[in-house]
Amino acid sequence: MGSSNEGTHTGMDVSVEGTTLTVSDKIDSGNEGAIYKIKNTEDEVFKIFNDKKRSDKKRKITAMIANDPNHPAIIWPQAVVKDANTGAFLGYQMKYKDLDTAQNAFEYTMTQLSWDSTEKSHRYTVAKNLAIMVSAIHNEGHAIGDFNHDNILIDNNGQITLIDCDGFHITDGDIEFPDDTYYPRYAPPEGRGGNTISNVKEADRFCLGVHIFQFLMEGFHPYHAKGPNAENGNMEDKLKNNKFPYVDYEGYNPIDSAPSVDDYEKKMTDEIQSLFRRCFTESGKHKATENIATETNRPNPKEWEEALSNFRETGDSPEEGTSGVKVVTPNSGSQDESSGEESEVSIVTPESAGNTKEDAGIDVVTPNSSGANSQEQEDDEDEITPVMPEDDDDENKPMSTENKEDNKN
Amino acid sequence: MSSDNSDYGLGQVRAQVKRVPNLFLLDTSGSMKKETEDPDGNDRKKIEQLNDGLELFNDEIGNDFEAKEGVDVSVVTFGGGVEVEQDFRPIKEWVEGSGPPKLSASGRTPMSEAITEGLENLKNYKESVDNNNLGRHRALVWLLTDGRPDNTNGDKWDAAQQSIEAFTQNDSIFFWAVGIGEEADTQTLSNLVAGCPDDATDVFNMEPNKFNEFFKLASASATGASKGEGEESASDYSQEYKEE
Repeated sequence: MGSSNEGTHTGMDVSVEGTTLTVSDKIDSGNEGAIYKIKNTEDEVFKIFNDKKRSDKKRKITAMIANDPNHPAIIWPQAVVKDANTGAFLGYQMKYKDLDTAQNAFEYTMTQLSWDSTEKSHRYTVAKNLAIMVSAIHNEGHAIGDFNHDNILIDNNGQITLIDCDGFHITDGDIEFPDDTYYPRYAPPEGRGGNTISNVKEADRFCLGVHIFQFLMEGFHPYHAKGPNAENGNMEDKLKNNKFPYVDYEGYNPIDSAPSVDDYEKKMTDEIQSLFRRCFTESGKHKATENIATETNRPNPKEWEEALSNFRETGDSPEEGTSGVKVVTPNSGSQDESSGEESEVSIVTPESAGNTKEDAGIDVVTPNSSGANSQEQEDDEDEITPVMPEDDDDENKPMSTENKEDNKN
Repeated sequence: MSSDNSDYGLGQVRAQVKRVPNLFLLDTSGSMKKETEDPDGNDRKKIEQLNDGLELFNDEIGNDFEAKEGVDVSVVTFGGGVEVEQDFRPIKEWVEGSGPPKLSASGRTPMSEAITEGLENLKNYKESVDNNNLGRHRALVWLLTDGRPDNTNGDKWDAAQQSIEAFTQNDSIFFWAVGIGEEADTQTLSNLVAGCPDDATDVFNMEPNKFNEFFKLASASATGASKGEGEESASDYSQEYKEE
């Protein structure tokens, strides 16, 4: 909806990289502008900004075009659209994707990703694909900021598309084009955290964690809790004041309709649980200070990408939950990759440091596990290292680790 | 009325989606039987246009997943007496059932009593939301009248004023008081909310045939709220419609 009193641009001649094209039918409109088809063109569309938005957007769009993350499912501006007569900036051209039947990430999660009806591989893949897109955006020097699930559309093949990217935080060399929108359900307690790229990236890491949690947990929010200390009221208050109920915080438990702690531990690999701990326990939830130990930093997209690649499709059988069986990938090659994601935070050690500490005695790490495939799994990753099962009372270990972590805070 | 159980239907909702309480306080007094020209240029009774508006609200909400799953709606009318046409229930029951109630018009305009009763219901419902550990948005309360209330002073008026003040002062509601048509007494509506925080209320007048616009505004607000767009004042929602 919105005030679409802007009139229509249908029929207008515009100039795109020197070529004159004609604006065709309007297919959508929002607060900032409208989307139009292009005459005699199927694969691309125009976004034409409302009059009063144009001066704001002109330089930002130009910067976006010059710094394209080049991911096929990120709908990024491709070329500036100008008035063919005056040369004035109107908007941009972008790829057209028919997303009429796609669902937003939240709706998709609740209607298509229930534990009963989907394979773990499907849920993990959807989550991983979002992490890959965030990586691509961060690597290009940008951040998302407005991590609204309405901008993450998923079609019935499970393919994710990211739209409305011109609301992102964009950089072009030393110049930043910030945006101040954010979406309370996903934002960390500090909101966007300020207007610098590193702040917004840090907020993105939290947002990504929440989205991934929802993908893997049937849409439940990581701070939706009950118990004597739990907060009533709106989601933002719950997010701010509740503690992550899937670790051992006194007075906070998952609500009745959400997956139980037991189920959570069964369905999530240890690696995923460890990333969720880094993201959602008090130390990850509250913004890291300059010098905070990297192990408490929110996981970056690359780490999620790797963790979400490492799982066993054993139909979520109960034994999978025993923290005895886990995947660890401390081969230095992949870590160098992950540290390449960010230059301002050196994330060389979070995985190895975290794992040796948290999973000590659980995982056997063989740097080169080529023999792994002959064992009980056929994942294509050769990094997977099956490990001695420790079925007895596996819950104690993560818990005791958790307590340690809590005491530090 | 329709409370076949005491939990307002909250036992069946998807807990992932927060509740968005939506309370309509609707004038169904005798004057609503008068005809005005509807947007298509036909003379129709205002009460019929009001019913069409409720249908439109229902349809618009039904088009949005989160709103359909999250909005709980209550309808309290004032015409002759105060009638709780529906205590808070998931709007999904309208969308997937037989739609909103059909209202009829008669009698005087006991607005104050309707406000007090509607907000009392809201209080009980909110407790139930909290007991179910569900998330909830600040409630959206819409008062619509085409005239002036029976009482603009006295105990009943004071009670209504105090209720609105209490709910707005602790950020529990946004309250819109909307007059529709030239006979609506907007000054009285302004007096009604004079003691409330400015950002929690908005009072304005709409043209006589704008029932649809009123319900479009209400549905857009409820949809926005269910998406958690974080509007900070009542007029953030209504601004755009007032300008039109």
